[in-house]
Amino acid sequence: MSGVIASVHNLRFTYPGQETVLRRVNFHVLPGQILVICGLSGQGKSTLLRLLIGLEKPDAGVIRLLGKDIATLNEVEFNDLKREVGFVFQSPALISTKTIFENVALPLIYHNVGDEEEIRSRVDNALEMLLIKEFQHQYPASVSLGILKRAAVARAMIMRPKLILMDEPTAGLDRISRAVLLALIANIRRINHVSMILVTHDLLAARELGGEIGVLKEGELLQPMNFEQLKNCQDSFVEYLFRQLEQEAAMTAEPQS
Amino acid sequence: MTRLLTWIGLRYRRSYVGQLMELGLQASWCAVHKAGNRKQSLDQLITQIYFTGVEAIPLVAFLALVIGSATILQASTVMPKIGAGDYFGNVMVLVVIREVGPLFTAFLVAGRTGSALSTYLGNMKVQQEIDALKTMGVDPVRYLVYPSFAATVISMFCLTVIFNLVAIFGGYVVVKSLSLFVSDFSEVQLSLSLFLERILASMSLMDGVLGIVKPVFFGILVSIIACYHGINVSNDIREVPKATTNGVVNSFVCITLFDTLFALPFLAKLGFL
Repeated sequence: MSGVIASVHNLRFTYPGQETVLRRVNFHVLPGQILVICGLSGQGKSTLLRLLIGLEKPDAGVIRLLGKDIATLNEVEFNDLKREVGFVFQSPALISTKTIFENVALPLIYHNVGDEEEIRSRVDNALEMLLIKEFQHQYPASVSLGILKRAAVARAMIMRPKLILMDEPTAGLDRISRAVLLALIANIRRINHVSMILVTHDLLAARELGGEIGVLKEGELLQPMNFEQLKNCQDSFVEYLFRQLEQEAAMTAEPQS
Repeated sequence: MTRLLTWIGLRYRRSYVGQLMELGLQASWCAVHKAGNRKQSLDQLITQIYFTGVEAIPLVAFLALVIGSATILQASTVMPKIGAGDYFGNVMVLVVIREVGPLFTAFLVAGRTGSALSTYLGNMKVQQEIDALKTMGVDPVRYLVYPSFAATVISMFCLTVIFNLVAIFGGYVVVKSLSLFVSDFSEVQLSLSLFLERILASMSLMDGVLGIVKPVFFGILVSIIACYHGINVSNDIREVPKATTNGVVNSFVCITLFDTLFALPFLAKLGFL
């Protein structure tokens, strides 16, 4: 399929000595599209992202990023490809000995992208876009989780990638920080026209970001669909997810009433 | 040679020694094959040299002064009494330059820099910082291991030279000063020129070669063992202290083992082997 940013075909993965996590996963992402992968904890959502970026090796199946089968690439070729793919970890995973600015600038400096002035300008733009410029000289240990998550997003987008993979970007955030981050992610997607694969257990976040939602169930990904279609889906697991969502909403609403 | 080492590394890559060799070869490859940002590598190298080398100088100098003084004192007071006064220079070369200098410096660097490296890299692994580097197309060996590796080798060599110089000159000054105030040491009548003359006369070409090879080799051992234990921590914070301990202990064992191996040519020369 031409123009496909990422595609996964019959992906299978098992951690050594454990049950199979992913049995038969298939999907594809088009330019500018956002695919939200939902599911309960331990269903292999994060593992799927780790497989996509090459941190784990699949037992079977084909992963294509920007038209290239990642299994056929050598280390140098794959590292070159990674310049066009951003990744946001659930824990922000910023380098603790570097400031927020240095963390965001790291990929640009390592890959020799532009001179000092261009690097400063690009990092400044990214930090401004994510509303964290005032924290640029601070170290990760001295800022809040919300700021760290935004810095991680800034680092993922700094190379102007065609695809950004995000693992639970809103996990651990309060409601305001969560809403701000989701709005910023939507903004980045709109401005940069970047494709995204986002893993979350937060169905509401999936609705707010729009795009298609794929539910990971017993190691298989259900056909991606939009939020309304998913809500009307007859699958018992999807119904269970929505019941969970209603219960969570009720629990959050109680203290306010 | 590199191909042979690579072949050996591949053959035994699953073993502990094989994996150490593989990491050592990868770090060495980074030294000859330039990639990434050179300025950034240089900055990291300088930072590491400052920590491993410059900040360790006071400790190394203090140890060298104590050991140098003790050795000179023993050699210049006890040895003449047993009729071995002529071997003063040999004892200084054997004890300070050939053995204690490289060995103590290596132990100190293993305990100080080795433990810091294992802990730093282990924490980075647990916090997924190393995975984050990989996702950005940044080679962790080039970005993290190579600057530490190069800095430890350079620092080890410089620190060993400093140890030897401070042990000999500082030790001489301390003993001479003591002889002015303590009557028991008044027998120490060695002039500086005679003192240096005896040491230089006892040095061989092999001492000069080993004076370079030993610290460099020990630097390689310490940095690679420390980095290996750091980057191979599983994603469990409890593994970090274990990795640090294992790194330091294994460094001590390897340093002692190789120090013995380095002594073999001398033993062979003396007809013991």
